[in-house]
Amino acid sequence: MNRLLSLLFQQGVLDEQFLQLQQLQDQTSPNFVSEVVTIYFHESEKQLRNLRNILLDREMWDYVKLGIHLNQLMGSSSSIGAKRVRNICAAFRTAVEQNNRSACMRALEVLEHEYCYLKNKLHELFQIEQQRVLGDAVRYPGVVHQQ
Amino acid sequence: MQGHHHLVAVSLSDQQLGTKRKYTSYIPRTNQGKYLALWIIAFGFVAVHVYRCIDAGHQQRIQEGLVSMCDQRARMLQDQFSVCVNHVHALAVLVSTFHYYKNPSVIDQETFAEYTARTAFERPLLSGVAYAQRVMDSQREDFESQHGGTIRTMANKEPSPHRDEYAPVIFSQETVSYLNLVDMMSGEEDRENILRARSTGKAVLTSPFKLLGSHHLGVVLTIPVYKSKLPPNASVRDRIEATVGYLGGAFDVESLVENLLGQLAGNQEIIVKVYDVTNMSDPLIMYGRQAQYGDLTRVRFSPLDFGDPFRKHQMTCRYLHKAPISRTAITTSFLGYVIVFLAGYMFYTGAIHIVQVEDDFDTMQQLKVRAEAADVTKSQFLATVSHEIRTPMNGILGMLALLLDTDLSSTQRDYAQTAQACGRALITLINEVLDRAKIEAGKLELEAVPFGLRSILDDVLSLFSEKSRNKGIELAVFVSDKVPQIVMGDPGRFRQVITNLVGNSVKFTEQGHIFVQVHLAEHSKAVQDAKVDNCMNGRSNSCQSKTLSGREAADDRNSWDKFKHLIADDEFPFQVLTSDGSSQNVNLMVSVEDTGIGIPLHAQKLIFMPFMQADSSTSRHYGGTGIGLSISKCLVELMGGQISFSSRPQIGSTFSFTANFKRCEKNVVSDPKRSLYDDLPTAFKGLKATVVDTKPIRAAVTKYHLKRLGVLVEVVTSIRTAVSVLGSGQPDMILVEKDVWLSGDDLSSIRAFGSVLKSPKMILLATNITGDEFDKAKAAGFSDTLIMKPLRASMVAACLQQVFGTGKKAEQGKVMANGSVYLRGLLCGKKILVVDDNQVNRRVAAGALKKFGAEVECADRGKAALDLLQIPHGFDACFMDIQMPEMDGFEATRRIRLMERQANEQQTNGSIDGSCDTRTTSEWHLPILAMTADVIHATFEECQKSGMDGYVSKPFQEENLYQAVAKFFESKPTTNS
Repeated sequence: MNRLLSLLFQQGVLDEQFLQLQQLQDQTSPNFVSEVVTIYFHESEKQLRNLRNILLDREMWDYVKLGIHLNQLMGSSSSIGAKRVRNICAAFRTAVEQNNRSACMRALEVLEHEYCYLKNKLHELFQIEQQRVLGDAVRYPGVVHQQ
Repeated sequence: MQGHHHLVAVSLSDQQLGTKRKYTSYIPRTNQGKYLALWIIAFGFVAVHVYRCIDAGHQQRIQEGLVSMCDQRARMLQDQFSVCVNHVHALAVLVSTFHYYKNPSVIDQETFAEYTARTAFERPLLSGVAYAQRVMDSQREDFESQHGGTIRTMANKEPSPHRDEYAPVIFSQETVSYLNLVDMMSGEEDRENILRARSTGKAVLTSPFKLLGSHHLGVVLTIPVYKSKLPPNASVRDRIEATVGYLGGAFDVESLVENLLGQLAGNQEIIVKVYDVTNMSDPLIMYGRQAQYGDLTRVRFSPLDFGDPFRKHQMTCRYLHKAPISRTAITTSFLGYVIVFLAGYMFYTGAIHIVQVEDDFDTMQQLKVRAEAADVTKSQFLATVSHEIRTPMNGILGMLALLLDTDLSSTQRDYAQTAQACGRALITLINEVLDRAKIEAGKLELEAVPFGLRSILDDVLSLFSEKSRNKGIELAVFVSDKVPQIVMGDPGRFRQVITNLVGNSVKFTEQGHIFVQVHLAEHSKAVQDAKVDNCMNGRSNSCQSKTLSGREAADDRNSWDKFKHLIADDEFPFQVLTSDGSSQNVNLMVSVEDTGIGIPLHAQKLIFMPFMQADSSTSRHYGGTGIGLSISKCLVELMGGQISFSSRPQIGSTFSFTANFKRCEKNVVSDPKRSLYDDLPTAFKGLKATVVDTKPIRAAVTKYHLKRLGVLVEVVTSIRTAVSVLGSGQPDMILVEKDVWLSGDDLSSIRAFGSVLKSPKMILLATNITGDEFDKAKAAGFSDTLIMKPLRASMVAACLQQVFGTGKKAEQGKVMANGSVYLRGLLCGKKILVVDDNQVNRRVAAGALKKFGAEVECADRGKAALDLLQIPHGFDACFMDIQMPEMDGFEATRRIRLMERQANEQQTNGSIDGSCDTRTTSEWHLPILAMTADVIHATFEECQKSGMDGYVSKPFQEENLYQAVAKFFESKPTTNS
């Protein structure tokens, strides 16, 4: 798990904020991270869908809405520490500000790709963690692992 | 990137050179040789001209000399000649008077010869005179018979042939007696002369010819003698008729002129010639050799008038030798020329030298610019590289931290910890290098924000407390009361300098103490000046035991003698402050004194050079790079101060520096940033304490920390004194130094005394303590608590809280300086509303706040928040996102404030009515904190405008949150308890 995490850090997919998030998780909220991340995925998919719709809508090209959705996505990404997604969002936003439609499309594609990557990796991470918690529980029965 | 920089720098330098080259040069840069040649030639002409001028004067003088000499000779000759002529005239008159007018004649040959011989001195120019009678052919017979001889010719002394008339000599001077009866008219010259003389009636001269009887040239003077007196206007015929004879004399011109010249000075120098120039085309020489010799260039012709209008004579003078060339002229011009030539050569070499120096200078300039550019490039390179290294290093450190969290075997853990420690060391080093490079590149700028000096010093102390405790070093800080609570400056950099100095001290000190002092620079200086001689007199021994730990320190200035004076004035704390309170600057003097190994004398000069350590073994023993002090120096200089040190090997070092800060305005202090103040509880205000300590400085430090907590302190030197004081003052606590206690004072007396009254709390102060000692201390009566040094106000406060039980239950027994624990205490049980449209953020914020024990409620939009916040509500704080759809954070806050105002107004009205309820005794004012991703100043201002109380940056960070929250809950800690 740590190896995966370090890989993600090295690639710049995640940053310290994710560690902070992990530190928030304790006995009182044992599934805090996965809970937050699930919310994040849910929200983000909605945002991405909205973004794609707006971009595909040839007649109406609503910058304001585009900006709002992007901001949302950016805010939540930085909250969970998804650094690369956040950076791409920033690039996307400048493209929107410049009114550059093709750049927007490109950015959206990159964003979706990056998002999928993040999602896969985080899923992987949680699976490993779950297994480990189970393993811990087997090894030290009765002791709840603390991160 | 680097290369580009370099190029820019170089092109810049070229430009600079281009402009530099434009300085005015008065020296020709090329063709100096030509200029020299021109100079030499020009002055050659000048020299020749000068020579000519001087020589012309010289020549003229020579000429004038010649002229005057020649004229003088001519005049003399003429005078003597005319004298002779006059005398001959007189003879003529004599002959006519006594030969013709007397009858019979009274003159005969004898008389004449006698007379002329005796008057010969009168006629020096004449070789002799003779009188010839005019004899007509008809009278020849008579004459010959009368004189008893025949008339002879001059040529061969033969009897003369017949002629019209004759002029036989009848009287003659002895010298020319051979002329007797010689017919003077037989000679061509004489005949002509005679004819001319009798027709003009004047003395006439012949042209020069060889005289009879001598080889000399001569002229013959002939004067007519008339038988009757002639009227002045007599005609030629009358004269001829009246002529009776002729008086003649021969001038031996040659010998005469010789004689004459012999009498004159300068005879040798000139050649004199006398010419008869009656016939101009063929001058006849009368005197001098015909050959041309002597100086031919200079000739003077002086006319001679011998009284014969028919004949003209002139004198020619020449120098015998050529006039010598004028030495002065030549020397003057030559020397002048040499001087000018040398001067020209000097200018020439000078010009060449100057040009060379200028070229060298240009080269140097170029090299300098290049070197500077290289230096800047180096700094930039360092900055960039360090920055680039930092990023992956963060990853490495993060991963190591994660690794340490996992299950590791002890060996693995050891390895990982070592790696982490190394990584930390590396990142510190990189940061230092980066700092240094930034300073060199001039990119480091100091902040000017208000900060609390004392809390920073406490922080630094806490950093090193562990190390110092392990080594058993006494670490203490003391800040003078005159130093303001809050100053404006750069807290980070100030902390860096202090950390560095203290870190060095800790590193190099094995026993003794490290003492940090802060005073006002002016004050400290004044005291130091006043006390300097005292300290000099009482040097080593008296000062020795008066430092913090009793060990000798390098700099006596910090000994008690001086310290006493520094704090003596503290008894009147604000007098000095108010007097110079008008000035905006606070000049602080900070000194860090240790009793470490000191700095070797030879290394003291190098100590502030980057990467210089005292010697190479230092880094082997103690580690470190030696860059810290140089950075500190730069930083101190940036802060407008100076750093200096004094050190004695094996005794210790004292580093002291001054720094300039701005006094903080009072209205700035009332800013939201109130966390600047010491976060010290005020619960101990008014308590009394007795400190038992034998060392005055240490006691002063203890007193300083207690004073900050508002505790009144009394210092005594032994427990016995403390006991004796007990009765009167009744302190709430007694703090005893460990070594005082160990030295054997008995505590039981206090116990005994204390049992009667409410017993004071006993507190032991110690640097380090063993388990045995601890047990013993407990047994001896220090059951209350033990305060481990170094002392920090917050830590002392925590301990006292524990002792007096005034602290919160949850925190008992803990030191509560740690932020998160403290935060937990602050937020525990608080009800907080989080407003954010982003579900993820909301969840994270809520999670973070919940972790610190807060009760969190969420709202996903501004409207919902407004609904929840309808008065009355039970929230203690609200975190508000700024960017929200429909209603953003600013708008929501404005509305909430509006509601509160209305409620407050109603409440005031209500309180006037007298129906006020206890829950709302205070005005409604909900602390609203903005949550924002970009913390820009402008945003912060807008937050304030719309009525928010502060902001936290997203994503939440612990200390950030702590700072923001602490402001609100600490100031009213009892609101909710």
